Amino acid sequence: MHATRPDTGSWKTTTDPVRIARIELGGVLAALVLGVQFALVLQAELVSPGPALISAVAVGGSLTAHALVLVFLFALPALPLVIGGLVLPPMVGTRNFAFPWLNRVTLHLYLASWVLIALALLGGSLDRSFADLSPADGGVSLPLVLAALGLHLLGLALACAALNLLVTVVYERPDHVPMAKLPVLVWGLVSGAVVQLVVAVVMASLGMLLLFESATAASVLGQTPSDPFAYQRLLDFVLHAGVAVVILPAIGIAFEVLATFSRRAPAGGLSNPLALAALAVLSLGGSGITLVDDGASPALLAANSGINLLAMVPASLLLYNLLATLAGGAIKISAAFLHALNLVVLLTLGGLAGIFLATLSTGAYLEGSLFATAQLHYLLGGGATAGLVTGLYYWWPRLMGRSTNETLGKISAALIFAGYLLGFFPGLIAGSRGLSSLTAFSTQVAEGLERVAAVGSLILVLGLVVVGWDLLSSVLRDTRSEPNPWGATTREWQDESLAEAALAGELGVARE
Amino acid sequence: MRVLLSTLLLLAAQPASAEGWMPEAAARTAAGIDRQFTLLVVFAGLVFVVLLFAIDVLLVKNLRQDDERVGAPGADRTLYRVLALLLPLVCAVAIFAMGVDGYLDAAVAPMDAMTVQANRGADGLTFRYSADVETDELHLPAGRPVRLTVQTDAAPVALTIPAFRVRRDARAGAGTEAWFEASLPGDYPLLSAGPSLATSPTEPSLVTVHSASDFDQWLLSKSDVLLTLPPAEAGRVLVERKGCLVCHTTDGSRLTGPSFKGLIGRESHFADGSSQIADPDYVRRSILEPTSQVVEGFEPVMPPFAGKIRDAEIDAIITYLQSLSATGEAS
Repeated sequence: MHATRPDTGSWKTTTDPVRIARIELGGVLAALVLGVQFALVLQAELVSPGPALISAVAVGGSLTAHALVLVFLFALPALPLVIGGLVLPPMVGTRNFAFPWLNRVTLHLYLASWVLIALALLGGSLDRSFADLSPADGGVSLPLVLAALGLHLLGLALACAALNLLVTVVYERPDHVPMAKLPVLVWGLVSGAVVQLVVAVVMASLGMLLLFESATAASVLGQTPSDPFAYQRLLDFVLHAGVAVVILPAIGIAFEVLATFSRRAPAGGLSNPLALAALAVLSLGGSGITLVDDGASPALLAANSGINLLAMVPASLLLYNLLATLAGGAIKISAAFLHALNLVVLLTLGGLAGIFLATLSTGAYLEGSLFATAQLHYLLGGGATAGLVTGLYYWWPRLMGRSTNETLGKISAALIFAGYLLGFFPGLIAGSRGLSSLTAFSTQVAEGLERVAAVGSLILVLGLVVVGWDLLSSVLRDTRSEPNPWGATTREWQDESLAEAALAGELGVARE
Repeated sequence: MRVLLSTLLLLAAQPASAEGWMPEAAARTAAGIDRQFTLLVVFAGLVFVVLLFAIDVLLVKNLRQDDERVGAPGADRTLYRVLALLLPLVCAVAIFAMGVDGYLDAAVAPMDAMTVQANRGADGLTFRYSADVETDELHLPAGRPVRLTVQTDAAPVALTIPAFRVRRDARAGAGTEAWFEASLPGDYPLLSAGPSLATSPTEPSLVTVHSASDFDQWLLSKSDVLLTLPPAEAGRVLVERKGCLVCHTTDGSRLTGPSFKGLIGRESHFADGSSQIADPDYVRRSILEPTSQVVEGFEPVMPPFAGKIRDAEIDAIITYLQSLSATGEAS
């Protein structure tokens, strides 16, 4: 028996997916603000000669902090939790997730991990680089325990979200919504969720092992107790596969937005879900090899290279389908549309840079350098940031019932684009000159590139501030939106009662 | 919109020229990887430019003129979609083969390559050239293949020589190696980084490439004579290397300092009025703290060698000085 009642209770007990997505959005945006601050401090240190602002130890700490916050609290949860949480149930034709309570548990786990990781950073003694997040020789320190617990809970949150999403698509989809007619974004979220499930389990185990090994000085993971290399491999796996967790839903978002503003269905039909699934499989394969690779076996190296290069095939098919959507369209250039184009170009740029890393000869030289760092920023950072901003501009009327300012939206799209291009392209060049994120701070080989990057970062931050201002003011000034301002035809825009309910926060479904 | 895209096109076209990406190559072996890198830059630049052009053209062509117009599904062709699958597949296979080829070239050192072992210990990087030569700086010969093995005692280390296009990671228990052939004498950056700035600050330093003959001389000058020569001979080389002969002669004549000839066993008179028969302990003290006992008639100008010389080296020098005294008595 299903019973529906208005969800008027506390945010702590809500099962309204829209309300939960709103709170998760708050957490994700707060993580973005926090992480960008660490990144700006690093950027400022980089352009000032010598150890001007912060010590070398603090540079290491800021690197760790910005990576922890931006990867784990922002990039990985941004699209599956916020955008997925908002649009997945209506897109598959149901009012809520298969397990509304599990959605709430996801929220609670995410918030708990947020608090734990923030406390760990406040503790301050995580002054080690990201790759060095391994059990301390000196036993258990409080920040390490907090960070490890945070990672563990975040892994659980992502696992819950992925499970809930997959079960919802498979079991809650009504008969009148055939699998083949599901929107591309659903496929992006589904293929992303498969990778996310694996990543989440690895993350959760990583956190637990970190705690266990530092507390007992036993060696579960590595050959020696607290083997930093074993942890680095797990983190590499999370980052590698994490890229898929971000870009698969991001590609789906780009399809939805470009199709709506071209007034047609996404081009490509069933080739899109196939290509998305292929990307997920290749991503798992490639990062799986990262997990077992000891860096010395040519066969594994070649297999990894082959798998990563093969990703070019589904990726370019998806890119073709995105362009073909425009080709047949009647295009209206809106803020969301520009942000989506942004997303497509940034992902392409990251993918192209990835070819250099996947090619064995150049990859051996570039791996671990700023080139790889910049490439990760294009895919993981660009995918998550541009993906989330695109999604917010597009679905804001559904999420908050308010309408955004089109002019500000277009300005921010241009700023974010220019910011990403200027902010991280110098990293590609500096990486070709052999610099890594660690050596960049102590050598002077960059030759002014760091100044271009700093200007780019400021432009990017300015763009994000404009987005934040626009979204905030739409809520503060209460600029009510029409239920379907873009004339979209997908299911999440069609159900008027759903829209009203979302606005009023009455979607809670108590299930017996 | 068009202006924005054109600007971006210019921006995108700029790096496609491949100039300004890599530092100047200083190794013969860098040419291969540079060629492949340039190919990839051209390929990626081309794809990126085509993408921006395509977006520009599609936007201009399909802009919604009136609110009635709707999109036309199926405006794309299956042929194009097949091409969108096949072209990247061909590219992926070609790039894969190219990369494997280049990697194997760079991975397998020629049989006659000289081996240099880089090791990261507790107090930084050392380079071992042979059983008796170990230094804390990397010197290489031009025109000879060199195999560089990288090992670490504790923390992982990443070693990069950008001018040679070489980068290698090593962690405890798993060393790696690379080979290259430097081509141009000169100094080039050597970037080494541990896993974190806190536990192992980066050590920017230099690789010095000599011409082949200069390198042989350098290697000879660095060889550990204690291992290769009998003690007295080693002492003779050491007093030369350490600069002792600038002030001390071996033929009895007087320079800034007293002569070494017949020193051991002779009674020395000091500036403070005391005197002593010179024995090995006296020589050791005089090398480590020269101003503790200054011989009458000489200025206290000799720098202390404490910390700059090993005990075994002092022993060898003492043996040499003893041999000078022995021959002095004999003649």
